[in-house]
Amino acid sequence: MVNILCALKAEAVPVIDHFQLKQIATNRTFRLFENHGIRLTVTGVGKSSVAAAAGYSFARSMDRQHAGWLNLGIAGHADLPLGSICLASKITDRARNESWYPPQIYRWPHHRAEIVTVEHPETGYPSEALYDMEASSFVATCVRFSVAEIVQSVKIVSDNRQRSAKEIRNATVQELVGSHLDCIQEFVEQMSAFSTAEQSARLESPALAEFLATWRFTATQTHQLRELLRRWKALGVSDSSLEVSRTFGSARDVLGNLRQRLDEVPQRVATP
Amino acid sequence: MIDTIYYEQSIAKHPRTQAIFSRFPHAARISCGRYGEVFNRRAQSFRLQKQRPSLILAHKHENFVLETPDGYGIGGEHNYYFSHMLNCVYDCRYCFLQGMYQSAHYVLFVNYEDFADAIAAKATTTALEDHYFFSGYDCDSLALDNVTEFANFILPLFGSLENAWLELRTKSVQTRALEECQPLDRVIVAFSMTPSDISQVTEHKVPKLTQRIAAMQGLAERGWQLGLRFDPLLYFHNWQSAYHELFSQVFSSIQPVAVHSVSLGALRFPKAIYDRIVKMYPEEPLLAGPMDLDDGLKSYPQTIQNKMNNACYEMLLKWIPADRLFCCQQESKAS
Repeated sequence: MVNILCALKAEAVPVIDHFQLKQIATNRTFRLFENHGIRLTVTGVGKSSVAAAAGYSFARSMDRQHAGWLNLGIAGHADLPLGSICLASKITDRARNESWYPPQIYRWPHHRAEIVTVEHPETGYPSEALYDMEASSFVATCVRFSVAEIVQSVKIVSDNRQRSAKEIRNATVQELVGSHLDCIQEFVEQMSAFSTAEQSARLESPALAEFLATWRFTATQTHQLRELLRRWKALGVSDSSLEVSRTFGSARDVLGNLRQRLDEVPQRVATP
Repeated sequence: MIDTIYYEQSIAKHPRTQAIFSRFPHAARISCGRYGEVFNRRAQSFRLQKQRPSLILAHKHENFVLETPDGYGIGGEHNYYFSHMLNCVYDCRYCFLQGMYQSAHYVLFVNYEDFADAIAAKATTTALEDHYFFSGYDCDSLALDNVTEFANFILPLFGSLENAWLELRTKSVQTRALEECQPLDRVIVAFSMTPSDISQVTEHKVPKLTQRIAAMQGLAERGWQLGLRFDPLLYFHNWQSAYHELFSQVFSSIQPVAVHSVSLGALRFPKAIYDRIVKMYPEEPLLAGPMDLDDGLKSYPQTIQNKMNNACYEMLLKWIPADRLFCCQQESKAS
């Protein structure tokens, strides 16, 4: 699952169309769209809006830990050409003077740049950075929900010293985002693959629930059972852990049997 | 190989920083205040970062040289380690670094001179006794040496200190710096090895065993003293024959006289580190064998440890005398 957060509806529209996202919720504050492992939230402008929207989106999908989170939108830059697409390499909150460094683990053949998040639109572009109004709050919030590697921000230059932010129109924003949909899709696919890898490393054994339903395990025994089932799977034991346990009456005997069988398995150091 | 370089602003103009920038002209350069802003921050995934680690250039401010943990050594009384780098270019599934740090980025401390001063200061505290300095505890000593050129810097120091020994521990074949200078009496180039088949499936990105043996052979011919590190010893169903084959393979190419010391020790982790690694790689067979917890250390049950240590120790005696064999374990007959 990849969650895309856009501040403006105009930033979201091309993405909604491209991924054929369907609206799944409307309330007074946020609109959510979803399809095939991608969820998009229109957050509104500013730090508090994006933090609230991220929290809202996360709360609706608590079972999806380690999802990807992508802040996609427009930003200003002193001299990068309009329409340049940039991956955030550093995000600085100007008011708090605090920085985050989204890990650079992606194939990204385009610009990479620092984003400075400001409270009010920046028209002076004092440094060689992108200026936006959400990224710092986005990253500070979303690293609570996932791992930093899949919390990323991609911005498209919408204004610079030659062209003022005041001239930006909805249609222009749609056009800017729309011209990079292939690149955005490729990036989302990479995020999705990383998210899946993180989630799969944390999957419980499917047998666990049935063990817990069949025998009464204490908290300590449940912990031991989890570990034994992990080893059972890792060592590629062909017998079903449940089937070899059926004849045992107590949780203690079940654990003893699994432990003994594991000790008898020829030890390997890698999957054949 | 390196496409992102973070650097502390305070060392932006340091000659080593500049040299590394020149070496990777296409790498993105990202400034930071202190390396801890990037390295080891909460909620990072070592496993994901390991797919494309970045290089972080930093200045180390303190603790340049530290005492080694108990049981770590090759016969000396004063044992220290130092780390001019954190993390390793290789990806060994048993490596404790993956449980120690949340980041897989490589950190390089560019103020080598401060390491040299600290080493010299330690060595001169008791000038009549030998001091052993181990490099390669938090990194591979040589794997990135073509970038760091640390060996070139540090070797002359150990040529001038009469009571200081250096162990460079590596799985690399990056030995150019050593080939280009005269061998030093108190420098040991120590290679870590596991049986070839096992290496291929657990030591990702590590040069083949045959290549490492060839590198060792080359160094031995030039007069460098070698260390052989069979640590960790890994437990699997045919471990005994696999280790016998490994030892035979090594000593068919390396003359025992070139070997300064051999050390061995069963796989072991501090519990917290083991738990983090298992969480990261729950389906790894290497981490699914029998493990006991003893005094905060996760390792094979004592019976298995003793069996492995003793059997390997006995096998090695065929080539190496007992006074050059060291077991990095406290409760074993072999130690």
